[in-house]
Amino acid sequence: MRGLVLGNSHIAALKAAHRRDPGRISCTVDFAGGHGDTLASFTEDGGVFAAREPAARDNMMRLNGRLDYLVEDYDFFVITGCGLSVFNAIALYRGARHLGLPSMARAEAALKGADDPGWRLVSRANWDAALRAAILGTLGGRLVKRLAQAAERGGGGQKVIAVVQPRPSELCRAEPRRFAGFLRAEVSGDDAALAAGFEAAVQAALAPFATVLIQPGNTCAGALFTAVAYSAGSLRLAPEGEAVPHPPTDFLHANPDYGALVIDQIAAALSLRPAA
Amino acid sequence: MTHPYDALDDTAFWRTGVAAADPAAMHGIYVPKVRIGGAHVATAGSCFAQHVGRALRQAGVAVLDAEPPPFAMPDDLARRFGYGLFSARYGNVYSVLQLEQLLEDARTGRVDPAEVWERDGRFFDAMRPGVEPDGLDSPEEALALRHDHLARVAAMLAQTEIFVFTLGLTEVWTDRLTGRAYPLCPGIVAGRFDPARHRLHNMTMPEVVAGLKRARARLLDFRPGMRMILTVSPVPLTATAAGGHVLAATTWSKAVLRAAAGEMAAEFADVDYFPSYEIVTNPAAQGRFFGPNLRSVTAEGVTAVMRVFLAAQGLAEAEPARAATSVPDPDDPEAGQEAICEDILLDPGRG
Repeated sequence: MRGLVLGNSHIAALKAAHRRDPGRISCTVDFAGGHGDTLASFTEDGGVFAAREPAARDNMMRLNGRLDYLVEDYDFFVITGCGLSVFNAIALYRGARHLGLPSMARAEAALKGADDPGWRLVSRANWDAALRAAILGTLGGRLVKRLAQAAERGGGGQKVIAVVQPRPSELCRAEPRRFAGFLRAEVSGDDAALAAGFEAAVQAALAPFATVLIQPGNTCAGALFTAVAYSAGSLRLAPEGEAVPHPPTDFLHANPDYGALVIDQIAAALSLRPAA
Repeated sequence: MTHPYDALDDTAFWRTGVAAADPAAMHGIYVPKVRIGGAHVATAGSCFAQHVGRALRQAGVAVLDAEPPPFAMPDDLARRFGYGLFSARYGNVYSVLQLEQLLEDARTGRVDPAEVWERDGRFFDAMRPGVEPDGLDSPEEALALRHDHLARVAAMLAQTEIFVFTLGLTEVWTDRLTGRAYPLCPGIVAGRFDPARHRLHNMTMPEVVAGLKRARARLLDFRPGMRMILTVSPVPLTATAAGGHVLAATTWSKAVLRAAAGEMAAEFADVDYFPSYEIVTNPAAQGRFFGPNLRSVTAEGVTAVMRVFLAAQGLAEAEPARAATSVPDPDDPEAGQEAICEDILLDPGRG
C-alpha cells in the first residue's frame, strides 16, 4: 500500500515523525509539501497531480524534489493543515455569538439590544452553515474535494483523509494581542463549545469526501490550545535532509511527537498496523 | 383652433410615448419629487425590492444595512439567510399591514412568544420565516433573534432619510384574535393553519392608503423629515386564495396598490411614486421583461426599471450604452439573480 500526504507547513511534523520512525505505519508514504498556498494550484490533469503555477512548481520541486504525482500510484491521500483549523471558528467568534455558547447565558441585556456588545447574535444554524462553508473554502477543503473527485474519476476509489491543523500552542498566551480571539473565548468559557463546534462542522463539511481526523485529545491543553509537549521543537517545512526549527514565538505548529500520533491516527483509519 | 393636447409632450401620447418608444429606455415616465442625492436610504418590500436595493447599492447610493453578515460568508449563503436583500433581515414585507406592524414592533421592541412557528422540531419567526431557512433550535432562540433584529431595525430607521418601499400584495393572512398579519399563510413554511383562527384579508384601496399614512407617521417618528419613495412590484401573484382567477386577482391587487401609492404621492410632498410596475408591464415590451414563468422579472427588465430610476435621479446616464457602468447589466449574473420570494412556496407545482 502506498499513500501520498499533502500539506502546507503543518506537514513537517508528520514528515519528521515518519523519517524518525518509518515503521510506525505499515505502508509506503510519499510527502508533497508546499509553503503557504502553494498547493492551491495542485490539480489533476490526465491522472497526474501537479502544481500548475510556476512559483508553486518551484516551491514543490525545491521541497520535494519532484513535481508530478500519478493518481493511480496511490491507495490513499492525506491532506494535513491547509487551514482546516479551529481558527475558522475563532474568526466567526470575533464578530458573532450564538445561544449555544455558555457565555450567552450571561448576556441577556445584550440580547435585548440594550448595549452594543461588540458582536452580533446569529442563529446556531447560521453559524454552523457559515463555519462549514468556511471550512470548504479553505485550501484544505478545496484539496480534499479535488482529491476525492480525482479518485472517483480515476475509478481507483482511493481513500481521502483530512487531518485538521493543530490548535495553537498553549504558549501563545504570551502574545495576547495576536491570539485575542482564543483568549477571549477561554476567559468567557466558550472555548470548549467552539472547539466542539469546529470538530462537528469539519466532520459534517468534509464527510462526503473524506475521513476526518481531529486533534488527539491528549495533545490538547484546555479546549483551544496544544500542550507545549506537542508544540515545542516544531520544525519548518524544508527540503529533505534539512531540519530547521521554528522560532520559539511560532506557536502555530506542532512537533514530530505530535506528528507521530497523527500517523497513528492515519494507520488506524486505514486499518494499517505499525510495521513489525 | 387650439386645444390642450396641442402643447403636450410626446410622452403624453400612447403612439409616441409607448408604441414607438424603446421600452428598455423609457423617457419622461418618472420625474422625481424625492431626490436621493447623498441621502441614507433604506429599502423594504416584496421580493422585487431586492432588485431595487441591489441596483441602488451598485449605483453608489448610501443604502443602509442594519444587519450585514457578521462574518465572512459566501454570497449565496448570505442571501439564503436573508443578508443583504433589504436594509435589515426582515425578509419580504409583502403588505402594508406587515410594514405597519414591523415599524410598530421596532418602535416598541414588542416580541410575542406566540409568533414562533414550529416544523419538525425546528422553530421559525412567524414574521420572517424565510430568513432562517434551516429553522432555529428553540423558541427562545427565535425570540432572542427577533429582539436583536427589532433593535437594529429601530436604530437603522433613526438614520434613514429616504425609505423606499415596494408594495407587493393586498392578500394578507391575519390572526383573527390578535389582528396580526403574517408574510405567509401559516402552514406553508412552518406553523399550523387553523381555519378558525387564520383568515385571509384582501386589503381595499382605502385600507392600503390608511395603512401607508400610518406607516409614514411612524417613519417620521423614527426620524423627522424622512421621505418615502413608493413603488409597486410588477411580479404577479403566485396564487390567490380570494376565490377568483389568479390573473384577475393580480390585476385587482396591483390596481389597488398602484392607486394607493399614487394617492399617497399626490397628497404628501415628501412621498414619491416610481413606476417600476408600469415599466415592466409595458405592452411595448411584449412580455420580454418577464421570465419563462411569466412571473419573474428578467435581468433586462430590472435594468430597464433601474435605468429610468437612476437616470432620473441623476445617478446614471439614461442611454443604455453609458448606463451599463452604473446600472445592472443584463450580462451581470448578479443582475439576473433570482429574488428570494417565499410566496413561490404557495405553488405545489413549482418544481
